[in-house]
Amino acid sequence: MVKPTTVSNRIRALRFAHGEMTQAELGKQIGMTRQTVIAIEQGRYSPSLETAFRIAQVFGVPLDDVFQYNEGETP
Amino acid sequence: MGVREKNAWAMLVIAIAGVTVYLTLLAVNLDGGSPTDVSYQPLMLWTIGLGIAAGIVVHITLSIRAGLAGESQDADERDRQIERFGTNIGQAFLVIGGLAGLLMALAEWDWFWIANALYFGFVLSAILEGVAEVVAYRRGLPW
Repeated sequence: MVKPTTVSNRIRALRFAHGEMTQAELGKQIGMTRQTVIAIEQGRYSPSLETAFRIAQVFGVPLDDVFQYNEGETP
Repeated sequence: MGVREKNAWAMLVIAIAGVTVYLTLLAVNLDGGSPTDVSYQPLMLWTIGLGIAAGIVVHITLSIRAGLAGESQDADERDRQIERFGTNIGQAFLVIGGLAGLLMALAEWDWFWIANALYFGFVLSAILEGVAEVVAYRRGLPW
């Protein structure tokens, strides 16, 4: 049986570390709406792998610095 | 709230309003008689027509407002996934309505029941699709 999983992220912290980048600015750079960036930040939406890489690229960090896979935790 | 989510809300409200108006007018015209004696065709056609017109007007209005506010109107991957999710949910009722209409036609039921089975198939499909999309926008997709 597959355990419940969740993907957490540090996008909010990374935005603030990058000149207090707004959600709209990040959205523009990755080709997403501000609402989708909010949903990703809040863990309501898991982005595609391609989008996840784009987000990591914007912040200039490896993918697992942005997203963490927490096996067994419920959202 | 993004323009796509507003559109999903608007379509849901229009679908519910349309069927409410139709049922109310049908009940008023029933006047204690049999439903099959009611002249339902103009009521159904007008509510469908006005629903489509209202949908177009609301869509154009929301697009113009989003454009003036500088908001993006392009669907991103989340919008597309939510739209697909809503369509999948709604399609079940479209099939149920179609099958019900087919079976009623084969059993030679009155046209009133056949037309209404098909109509409610469309309406329930639209309502379920709208509910699924709105819930997905507010709470996330179920996967």
